[in-house]
Amino acid sequence: MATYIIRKLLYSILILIGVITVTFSLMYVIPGDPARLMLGQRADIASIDAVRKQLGLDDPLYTQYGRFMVKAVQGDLGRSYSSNRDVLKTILDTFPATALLAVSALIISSIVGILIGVISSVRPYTFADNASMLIALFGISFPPFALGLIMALVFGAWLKWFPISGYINNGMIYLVLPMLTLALRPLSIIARLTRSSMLDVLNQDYVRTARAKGVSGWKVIIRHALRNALNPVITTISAWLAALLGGTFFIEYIFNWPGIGLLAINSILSLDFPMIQGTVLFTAVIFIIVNMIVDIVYAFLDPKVKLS
Amino acid sequence: MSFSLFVILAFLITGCTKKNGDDLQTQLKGGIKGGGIMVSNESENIRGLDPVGVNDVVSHHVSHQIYDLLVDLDTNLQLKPMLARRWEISPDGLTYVFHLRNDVYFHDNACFPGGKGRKFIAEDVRYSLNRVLDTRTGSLGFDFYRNYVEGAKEFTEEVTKSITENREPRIKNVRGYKVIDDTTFQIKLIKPFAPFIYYLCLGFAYVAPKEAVDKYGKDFFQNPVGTGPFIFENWTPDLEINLKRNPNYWDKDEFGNSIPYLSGVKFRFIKDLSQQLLEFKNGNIDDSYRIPNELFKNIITSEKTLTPEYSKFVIQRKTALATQYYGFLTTSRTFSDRRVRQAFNYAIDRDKILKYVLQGSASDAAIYGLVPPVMPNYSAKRIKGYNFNLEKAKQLMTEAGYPGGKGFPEVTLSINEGGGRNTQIAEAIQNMLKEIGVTLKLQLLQFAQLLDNIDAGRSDLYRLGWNADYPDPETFLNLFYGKNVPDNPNDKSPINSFRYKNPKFDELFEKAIATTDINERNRLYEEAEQLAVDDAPMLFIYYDEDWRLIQPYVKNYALDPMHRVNMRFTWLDK
Repeated sequence: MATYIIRKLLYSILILIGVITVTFSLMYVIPGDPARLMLGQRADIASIDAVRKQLGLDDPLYTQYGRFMVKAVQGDLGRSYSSNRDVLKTILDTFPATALLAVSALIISSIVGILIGVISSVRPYTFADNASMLIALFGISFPPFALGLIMALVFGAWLKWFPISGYINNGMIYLVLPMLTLALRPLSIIARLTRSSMLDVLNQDYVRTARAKGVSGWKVIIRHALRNALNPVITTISAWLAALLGGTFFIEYIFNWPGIGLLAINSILSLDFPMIQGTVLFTAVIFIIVNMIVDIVYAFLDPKVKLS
Repeated sequence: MSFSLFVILAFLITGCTKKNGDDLQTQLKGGIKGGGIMVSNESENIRGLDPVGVNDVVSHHVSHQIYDLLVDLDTNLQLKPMLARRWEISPDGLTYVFHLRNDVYFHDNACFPGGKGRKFIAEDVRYSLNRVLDTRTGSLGFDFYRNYVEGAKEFTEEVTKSITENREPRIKNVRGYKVIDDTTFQIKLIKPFAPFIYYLCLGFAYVAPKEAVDKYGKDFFQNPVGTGPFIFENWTPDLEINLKRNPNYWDKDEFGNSIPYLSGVKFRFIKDLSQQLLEFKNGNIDDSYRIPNELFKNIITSEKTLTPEYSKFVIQRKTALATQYYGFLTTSRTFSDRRVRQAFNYAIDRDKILKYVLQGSASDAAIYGLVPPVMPNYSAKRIKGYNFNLEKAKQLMTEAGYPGGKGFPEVTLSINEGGGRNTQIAEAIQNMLKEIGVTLKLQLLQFAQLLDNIDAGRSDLYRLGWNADYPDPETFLNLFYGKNVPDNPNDKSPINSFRYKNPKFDELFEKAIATTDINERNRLYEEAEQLAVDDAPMLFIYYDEDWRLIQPYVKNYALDPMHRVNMRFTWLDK
């Protein structure tokens, strides 16, 4: 087990170095001068040069890369060009908002997704099943950013049920629309997966035996079938946690939710290199850590994983 | 399923929607109501609240409520006293003496002994203006002052050198900033520069106390302390900034009421204009600056009033000190002949663009010069610019050797998206130029890339706009100043990106900025501008108009041509 964990850790570090290198390189391929943007259209060449010097942008690329790597290892991601904020501190300050959105979306999608899946599997090929699966198909196919805009328009602008912009410091109601938008896709996938897994299990001999022994219908479904059908569903849910933590960008932008996604998009628009690098790196770290934890937990639970 | 969903939603909805508790209002003299929180939205990024970095509109809007300046501008962009009760400028235009108020205190803050804000003195002005020229502060404003204030260049160079040599700078203060006594401050310039007084109205010139900068260090930008009407409370990045009333603010209104009237201000940061509008309609914000182009007709009628759907709100409209244009790279083979540039100017029907593309959202066709007609104290309308005249355009193309556009190369116009409006205008101009036989190819770029190409002289024709930094024609005409163009054609030319040179213009421009008499100065500006307009280094398109919707209960919240935000006298009639 220790070897497995060490191997996973080493892979993760290699991936991180790759992410840093690619992000760093991308920043210098993108046309545009951050110093020029900071100073505005009026700036003369002498001022632009002075600000470039202040920011260390006139150093050779390898010097900048080396400096960034050394500092990143020390937990110093620099200061934002556009707001002068400490990058790591800003990211850590905004992360709870992203985590809240992702985790609440995952909880909703898990509960509702499993429920729909179970109901569909118990009454397969009925109207309820067909309707649920059609909605689930829609949920999988519909791009979340488009759904976000529609949700904002319908529930925010027309019906005025929910606010479309802001954070929970003004009330939990602000969480509803971004959370539901984010939840729809994993919910649909979980519902479909639960259904197919349940259908598979419901045809197993031990379920038939339980029924033959006279165990009541719902007891069979919950205790015997669902327990066994949940394995692949839990795998999917775990994988979705990482995906949601790193995939809230457009949802946050649409609903003005002050998380890492909104921070990243604003940084891209203002060529704020340190903040772009910081948000990408942080998201990659979260992604890797969550996936690693999931892998390790699996290895504990299922010895077959270790062999692979 | 539906039950669990219902339970969760019910929890979320009933899980308390926080109301702003400070909605209680009191009756003041003159029929004014005190109290209430004004919720204003900003649709762009904010840089920070340290004066040395205030060069963006949003930072300026927030900072203007926290800090004071020596002199300020009123809503008609005329100078008015603020921390300086009065000031004198020597006849040679080199010495400025400011007589300061002695009843002003900084906000109560932990940076002061006992947390009590201390009295503002002239040393604070010197300290604050010094910081702008100190490159260690991350200043973005030194280019404004460096070339004019006595000793500024030496100071900046010494500070920069000291950073490289890792030592303390040997020059501690800028020689030209002098404290005469606690209430008298003097600025000495190295050469007369009449617009300099406006440099003291820029965000860089806000007065901040040394104690706060020392205490908060690099984080001063998010812990601002000033003498302004509102005290900084908190800031959630990308979400909101909250300010509360400064009960010790020095100013009063004409009725003797203390200002500000509001008990606080909340700045929100909704970036999308449509979303901003929705939040405004839902009553969650009190203003909505800029109307999305695609919704303009739904909100504004052809008579420039509100449509019935929006009639319960108040619309504010102001011609902005801003001009939209296409720049010609005058050193390029395509546009080196001024007759070609003039032909382009005559070939476009600006009125059509205003009516059909901009649907009335812009102010006027740019038929004068670069300086918009709303420039105070300046007769911009005396400049003879370009009206639509297709025949003349064709004739000029023929004279330039391109009859019917024959032999004229295909031109690439570089634009940035700008919410789709720039593309629509470009397409209209593309069609109009076909009439003189010119084929225009559109190239859509990110703004940063567009600027990069323009600076480096890689775009022969490009879209840009120019907003005034201050209400003096110099802020516009500086774009034509030939000495801003580098000698080496491979060097970047960010200000005069047309690389336009006319020694006669330069001579008049230099004479104008050194002239303290405003009438004479404006006469010289006019003469210089006419020369540049005749040479047509740009395709003048239109003068901007600012539109802002406000809630009907918002009072004394004027929109000025530079979109400065001042909530000192704003109140809510709820």
